[in-house]
Amino acid sequence: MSLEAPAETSPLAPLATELRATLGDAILEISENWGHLIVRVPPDKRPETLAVLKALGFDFYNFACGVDWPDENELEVFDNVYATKTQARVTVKCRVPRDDPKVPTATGVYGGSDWHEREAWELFGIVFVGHPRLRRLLLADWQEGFPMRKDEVLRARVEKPWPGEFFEA
Amino acid sequence: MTHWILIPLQSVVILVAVLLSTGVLLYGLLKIHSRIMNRVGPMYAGRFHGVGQPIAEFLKPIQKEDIVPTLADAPVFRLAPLIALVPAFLVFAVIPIAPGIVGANIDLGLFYVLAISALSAIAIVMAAYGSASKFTLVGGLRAVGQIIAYELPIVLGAVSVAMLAGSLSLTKIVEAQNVPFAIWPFPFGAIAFGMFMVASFAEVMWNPFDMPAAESEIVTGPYTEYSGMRFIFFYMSEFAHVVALSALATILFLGGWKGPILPPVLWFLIKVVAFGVFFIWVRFTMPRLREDQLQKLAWKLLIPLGLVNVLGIAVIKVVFG
Amino acid sequence: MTDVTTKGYFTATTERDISTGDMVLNIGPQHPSTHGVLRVVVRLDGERVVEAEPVLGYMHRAFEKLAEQRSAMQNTALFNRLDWISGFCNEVPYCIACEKLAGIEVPKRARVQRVILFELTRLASHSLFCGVFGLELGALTAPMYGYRDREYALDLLEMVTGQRMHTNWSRIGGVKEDFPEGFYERVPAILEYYRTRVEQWLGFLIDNDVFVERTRGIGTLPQDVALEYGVSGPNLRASGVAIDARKEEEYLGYAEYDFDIPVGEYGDCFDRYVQRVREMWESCNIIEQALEDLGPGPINTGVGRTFKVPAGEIYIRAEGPRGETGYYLISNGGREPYRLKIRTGSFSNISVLPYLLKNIYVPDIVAILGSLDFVVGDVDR
Repeated sequence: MSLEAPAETSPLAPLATELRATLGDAILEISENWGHLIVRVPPDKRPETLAVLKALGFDFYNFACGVDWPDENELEVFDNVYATKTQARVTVKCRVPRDDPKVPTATGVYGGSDWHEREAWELFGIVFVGHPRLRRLLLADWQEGFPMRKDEVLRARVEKPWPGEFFEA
Repeated sequence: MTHWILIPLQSVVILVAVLLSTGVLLYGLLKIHSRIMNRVGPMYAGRFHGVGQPIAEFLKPIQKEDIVPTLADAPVFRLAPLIALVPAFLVFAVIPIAPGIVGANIDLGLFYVLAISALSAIAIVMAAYGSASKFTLVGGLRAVGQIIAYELPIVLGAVSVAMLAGSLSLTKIVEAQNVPFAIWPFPFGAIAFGMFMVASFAEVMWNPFDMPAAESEIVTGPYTEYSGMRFIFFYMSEFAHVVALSALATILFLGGWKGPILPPVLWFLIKVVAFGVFFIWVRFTMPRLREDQLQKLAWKLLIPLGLVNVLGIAVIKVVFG
Repeated sequence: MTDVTTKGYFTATTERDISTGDMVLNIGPQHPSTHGVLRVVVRLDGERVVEAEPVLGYMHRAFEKLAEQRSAMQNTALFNRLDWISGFCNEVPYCIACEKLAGIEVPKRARVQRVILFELTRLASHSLFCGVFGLELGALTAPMYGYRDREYALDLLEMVTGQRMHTNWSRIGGVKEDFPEGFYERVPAILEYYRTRVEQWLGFLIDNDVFVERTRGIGTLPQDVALEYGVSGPNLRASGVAIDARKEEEYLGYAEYDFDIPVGEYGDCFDRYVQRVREMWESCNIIEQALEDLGPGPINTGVGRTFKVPAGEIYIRAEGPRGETGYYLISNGGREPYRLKIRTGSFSNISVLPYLLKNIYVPDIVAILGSLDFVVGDVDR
């Protein structure tokens, strides 16, 4: 999906130019999508980009999530931040290879990314390097695998032979 | 000298009367707090507006399984309900409901009442410790702290009245109130009354001093592990305490059985019922105080106030005779 | 431990290491107080909380994975189960996301109906909060009043949608059906009732000294912490930040209506309580204006059964009673969404619990949990 860079008249254009000025080569792509800005950066630049955005007034940390792209053999990490004063929204995206998904953590920049990164780790397997305590948030201890990856089948849709599944507690 | 047969007879009568009054209080509680909450309360038990509900509440736990947790200290666990229940009933031996109608007309009636009702604190500690659970321990410690802190305001309030009346005997205290709805000299009587009422809420652990029991985070506090008949013993002791404190309040502050037209026993009952309704009313209206707030209330406000009150009464008595 | 034998008895007892260790207490997951199955592991030093950590996941139902298995139209049945107390409020942003990607224009009547039902659900949810918050603090009568107040809004919802909680009413392209007969006549009386109740709620607990002592200064959430953790909804506004998605996003349809955003001052439990009561008042205003705004017209553009969301990605959010409910929808043109990230208010709201639950008493934990007004279904999805 290719998106276009912000037009000259768009209210996000000054923001885009400022980001390009501050981050320079770190940015792979800036595009505008439905009134929001999407900034694509290499994974090791994620905390830096978020720090720059925070300094620019993006004080509200919305969420972080992962996306699985099996065709391209990559996992993607999103961060969605919002500026309360200017009502601007930016999504920061990073892609990592599926067999070695390591992304530096953003907990140093936004404290709220703590739980979101834990969730992304347990659902997708993305390792956030430098996270204070990366451990399970939503899944139970006995659950294995990374459920949200596309190759993990939703258990409810798979027929089980009799007598079904049961646990030895 | 009364005939020896009268003593067990009187005891049985008092016991039955207390049980009945506990049942009536329970029914009143259910109906009144339902009305406060804008609902009707029990309607089916006993066919007429739920009058059989207290009987049902008593009969149901009797037939429950007797559970003692494995890690619990069994003798302590089993003994605690009895130690909670018996003093609550013993108090009624000296409460006079009419001139001449009293179980034992002893000269130290007030002292006896205050001493016996203080025994319930031990029962709570036994329940809390014997249940072998962190929640009960936390709840029990809170309860004991609360009860000990509020013993003093009750005692000081009662002592103020005793000083004003000049006697510790409950009958004589009532007789010393020469107005039907007695007014001790202002402000000493009012202060003593206020302290006594606030502290009695804390003694029975009803809202706003509900912290140890029925608390949202420690379930039922020290009584969490109790079920069936043992739980009913605790429950009954709480209600008996409420009745006892209402009776004590009427005797100390409201003139006991004194009143114009109706027979004295009826006046006494009316006043006790009024206090019971007041207890229920406040219980379902006020939120809870946090335990440090209620401790502050006791130690920083009520006890100094009580001491000043007693001192003032002593001065008045010495100066004016 | 100091050496006891070499000293005298009294010095030994005072210098001996009376170590009172911290006690680790589990509050929940099964508990009369927490709003569902939330477990908070607290470390207590006597009655003071040293640190607390919420343990989530007891209600994880894998909504995001489920959403990837169902077609775009089937998903609307799923999302009212997220924050079940305000069921309708969760469906709306998802429908709007699909509509925007597909370029569907929702008819005005459908948009106004969405607003009315949204605000009715908000009234129901805030009434429940007022009642249950009183219960957490020990006012045993308050929840009864809260449940009774909620019944009036639920009656209206049942009249329109047939359901009290899981309304399943919003569709891609509009809503399911039009208002039934007799709906317009019933609403003004109920709004009048809610307005009276707002004043009564304010008087019921605010003038109560015990209530004020239990909530003032407890659980103060400063603005910067709230923003950093993504706290939204009444919790954020009580801390002084005037953000409301209803004013900022036009697609929700609130642009024509005149209403205020109440803002709190300190962000403690008291402010959060007052905030929600004042928002109930504003909701009544909105419903009144929306009813007058209802013009004739269709209520659904009639999207077909073989509807597929075109490729694209979008983030749409709505201001639910719990906070901001947002859906980041990534579609690749297939039958099902490729990835649907559900951003719920309660999840971010309780991520500040480790910050808030420090150096407080145990009863304050209950007060703070109650004042944050979260639902575990929203947290665990």
